[in-house]
Amino acid sequence: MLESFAFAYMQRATVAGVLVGALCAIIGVYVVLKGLAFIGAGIAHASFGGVAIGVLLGINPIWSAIVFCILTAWGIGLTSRRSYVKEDTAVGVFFASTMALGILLIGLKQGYQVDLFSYLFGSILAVTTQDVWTTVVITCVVLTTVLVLYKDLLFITFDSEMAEVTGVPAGRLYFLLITMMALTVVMSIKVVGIVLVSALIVTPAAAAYQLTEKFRNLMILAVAFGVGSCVVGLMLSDLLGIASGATIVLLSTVIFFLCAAISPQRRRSRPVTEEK
Amino acid sequence: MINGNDPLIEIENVTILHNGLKVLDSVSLTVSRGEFTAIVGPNGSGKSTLVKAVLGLIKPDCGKIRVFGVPVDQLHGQRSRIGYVPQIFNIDLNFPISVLETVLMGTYGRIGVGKRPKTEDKAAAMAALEKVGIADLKDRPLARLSGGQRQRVFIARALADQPELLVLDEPTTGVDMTTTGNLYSLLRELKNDGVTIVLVSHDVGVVASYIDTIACLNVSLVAHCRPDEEVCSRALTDMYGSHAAYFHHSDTPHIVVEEHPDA
Ligand SMILES: Nc1ncnc2c1ncn2[C@@H]1O[C@H](COP(=O)(O)OP(=O)(O)OP(=O)(O)O)[C@@H](O)[C@H]1O
Ligand SMILES: [Mg+2]
Repeated sequence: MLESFAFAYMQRATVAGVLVGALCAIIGVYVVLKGLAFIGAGIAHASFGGVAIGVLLGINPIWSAIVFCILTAWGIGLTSRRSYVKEDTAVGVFFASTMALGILLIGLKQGYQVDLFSYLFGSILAVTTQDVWTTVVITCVVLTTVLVLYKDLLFITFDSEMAEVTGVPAGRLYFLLITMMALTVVMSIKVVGIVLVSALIVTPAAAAYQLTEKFRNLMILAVAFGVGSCVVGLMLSDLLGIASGATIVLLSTVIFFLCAAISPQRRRSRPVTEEK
Repeated sequence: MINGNDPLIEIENVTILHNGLKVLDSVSLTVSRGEFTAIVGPNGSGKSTLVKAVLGLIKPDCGKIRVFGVPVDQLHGQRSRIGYVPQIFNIDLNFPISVLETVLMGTYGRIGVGKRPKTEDKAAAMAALEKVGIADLKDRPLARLSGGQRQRVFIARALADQPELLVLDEPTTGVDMTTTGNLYSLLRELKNDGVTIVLVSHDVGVVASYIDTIACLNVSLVAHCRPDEEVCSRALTDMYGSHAAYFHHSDTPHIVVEEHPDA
């Protein structure tokens, strides 16, 4: 099985898998704690529209998807922050319309079904050297941002109103967070696919959440689970010739249920007799 | 009226609508530096709304609000001079965070975005925890506190950065009588240190001995007066009925607070 690592495609996929696993897990911690999972799903579906625009214009779909997803994220953010409608309603509106746009645009271009499938469900074969480098750069940017703004992002995630009162720019940090979310989604498309990316964002963080009551440990555990699912998932999918995205996501789901089963939170809620 | 010479909060003709309904109707109120003001009024009278407008969380539909002499939407860095204990917390009670970390957040506004808290910031957070009497819980996850303990954590957070203006919206909800007494004597100490305090409370009788002014709110400002003034007791009786009658009958309205031996 390890022979395939000799192949350039598998090396590229592994590097991309490690980075994407880490990225998704880090952003996932904020998503889980701040309840942004539905925005994540919305942005992921919007990326389909972004990819379609790239395909139609003949440019790298990753670039068009980045621009399109960031704009969609800001659109959702603005619509809900101005409180025209609730956040999930805003997502609901953008979710379907951006996907519909994608379907419409793809329809204009003939013979793209194969490529499209790899965007929807991920394909390690589709990861190019350029994709790997883009992912390296984006991962560095997101990691640096999260480290530098560690305490501020923690504050707005925990108590946005109080952050605002004491002069922390909660609004701008929120937009920064959903921008990083959009970048993470686009970077993950090739590895897990549009349909499954929101699961890779939420699941490792949700699994880690079962095991710790410390934010720092939550980050570290989530990254371990995310990277672990991606690397093992890629190897398994290559070995068995099955879809990479689905394997990765199912693996992280298994981790989630294992964590939930051994969660100390659950132990606490059992009868008190145990404590005596 | 009672307006001192150095206004810290200036509310001018503020009107706020919620869904087209007037929640505050041209309220004007000035709080001087170092003054202890209580805001009273029945449920739904707009107390929290007024407080949120003062903090810049709600934009008035009409009127102006200045804090520290600056319009609230231009306070920026000066916001770290404000401590706030909200009535309702929009937070996840299972958030993975410790008591000390929560209190430390009170200093983040001053520290600034992208900078780390220093040893003295942590010391300030510890000191605030000691003031509310839960220093021993500092490493406890917030999720494993009782409601009253949690409330004390949020009071400590508001105190952590030695605010010049302290705004408390019904801070004693769910807090036991001893802690309530302790909180009120703490507020008295802070007032003596020159902190300006705005307290939304239903039990003003308790603090009447050391509040400077009472603002009686019922959509519009019904009265703004010293607690021993006749207008004040009349306004309170009008709003609350006989419930507030002890203001009439007692010249020394600090009846309840003296019952706490350790207050
Ligand atoms: N977000 C909102 N949307 C619509 N109406 C609101 C909103 N917040 C408050 N209100 C209305 O505004 C009025 C004043 O509310 P507010 O919370 O300021 O009252 P309060 O004096 O603090 O009451 P309490 O003593 O119960 O805390 C109420 O009638 C309430 O129904
Ligand atoms: Mg209120």
